[in-house]
Amino acid sequence: MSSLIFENVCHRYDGINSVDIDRLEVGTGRLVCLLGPSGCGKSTTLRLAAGLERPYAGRIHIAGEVMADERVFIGPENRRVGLVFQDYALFPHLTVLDNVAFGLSDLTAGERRARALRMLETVRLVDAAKKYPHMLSGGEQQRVALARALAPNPRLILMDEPFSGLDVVLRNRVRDETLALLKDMGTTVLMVTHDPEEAMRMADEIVLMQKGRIVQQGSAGALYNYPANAFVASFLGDVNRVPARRMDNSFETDLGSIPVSLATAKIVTDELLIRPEAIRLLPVVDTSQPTAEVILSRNLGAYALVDLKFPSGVCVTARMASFSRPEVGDRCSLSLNPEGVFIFSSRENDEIGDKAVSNEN
Amino acid sequence: MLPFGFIDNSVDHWMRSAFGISTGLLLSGTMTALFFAYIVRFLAISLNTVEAGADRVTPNMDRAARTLGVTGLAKMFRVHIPLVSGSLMTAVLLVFVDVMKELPATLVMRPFGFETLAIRAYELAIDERLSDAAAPSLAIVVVGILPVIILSRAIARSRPGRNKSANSRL
Repeated sequence: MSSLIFENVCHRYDGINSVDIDRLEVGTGRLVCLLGPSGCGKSTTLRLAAGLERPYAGRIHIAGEVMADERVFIGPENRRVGLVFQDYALFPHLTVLDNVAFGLSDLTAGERRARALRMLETVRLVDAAKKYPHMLSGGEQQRVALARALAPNPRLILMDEPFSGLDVVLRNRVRDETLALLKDMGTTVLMVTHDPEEAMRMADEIVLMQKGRIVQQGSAGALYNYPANAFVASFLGDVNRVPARRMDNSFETDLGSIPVSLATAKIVTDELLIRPEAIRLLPVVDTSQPTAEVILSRNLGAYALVDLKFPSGVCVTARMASFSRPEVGDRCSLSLNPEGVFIFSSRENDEIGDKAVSNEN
Repeated sequence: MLPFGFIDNSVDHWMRSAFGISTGLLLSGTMTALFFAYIVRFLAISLNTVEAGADRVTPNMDRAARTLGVTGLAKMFRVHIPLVSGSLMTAVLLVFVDVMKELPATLVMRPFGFETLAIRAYELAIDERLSDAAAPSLAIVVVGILPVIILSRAIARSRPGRNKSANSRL
């Protein structure tokens, strides 16, 4: 059962397609993240789901009912969806309680108050009921916004960058609390974010968008470890782009060779994408292999980032546990973990790719 | 003043040549002309204030209200008017005080016999009846202070909870 379905939905600004989605499904009770760089159409997609934008073509269903197609268009007031904004958009002239009760027009005054108080209880803000929004901290305002969206018992919650207004320390806590609350209530959520870490941390499923189209969708692990193309690989995490030569049976780089597998057999490319954590530093034993010099070694607490330079001029960054960090000037050999090496065809629109699978390394 | 005179003269000319009736001065020296002068003179002041109030209603607030099922007039009464009313009131008071003490435009554009406090004070003063001019002058000050008091209270109210939070901190 899906709460939200997009079918061949297309949206235009000034005649240019800003969103073009063949199919997008959000299963009931699941949290799906729309992820992408700014201007990729993810916020427009959210507004299409909310009914704040009208699709140019295609069909949108919520809970089995058609919300928009060629003939039907149901406005946001009749869709029973909750919306949480980046700036929270709380009404400054109303108390926290009145803000939460704002969408409960159908109920009697007493029921409205009771329901709003119950919502405030779930976000642990009953004490703030009589305060005004500007008297609350950012995290508290975010919780009020969530309570307000949840109060009318919506079929779907839409969140537009809900945590980007918070500072880093607060963000992680609010994020975890929000996630626990939403999971607890079994709410279906479609959330927009530009932060891959946030998406991977929260989402059951990530939908990565680029230029209005869905590039790849799947679990965090699938996107990070099995990216569909170079854009996905570099958007989800850091990658080194290393020049490579295609030999008969392998791709040769200064860092080592990656054997050609079935999936990569037809790929022609002159570079490999390598995750920093896939590079292992080894003591120099075999001087016939190229060795790299450590040019920068930064300790970032839990892990260290080490910049290495080969005699050929190729530079790579490796990530490792900080206790095994080398000093600047050290020389070392490198080996690659093929799990973190991605090979894509260098031709732009032919991005068939797969992980290099090898048993030899 | 000049455009009004021009319009009056053109209309008068045309009426006389077409129907043989003289309309005289239609606009010059009437309340219409005076209102027009006030609008031109004080629009900037009021517009800034009203605009600042309208800025408080963000597009996302509008969207939030709609997804919560509140649209049209209900939305206007529950979101827009409460947020803008403070600055509308402020604009009205600002313009009222300014109009009351405005002298040159009123002096030039007013209908005959139409007097404001400022004109009364001015006329008495040029006759050197300085003690008599004191009454209207003081009246301006008194009437001018009232809105200031109301305004500062309105401003305090438009930020609800400020005083309360200050108290709770004590």
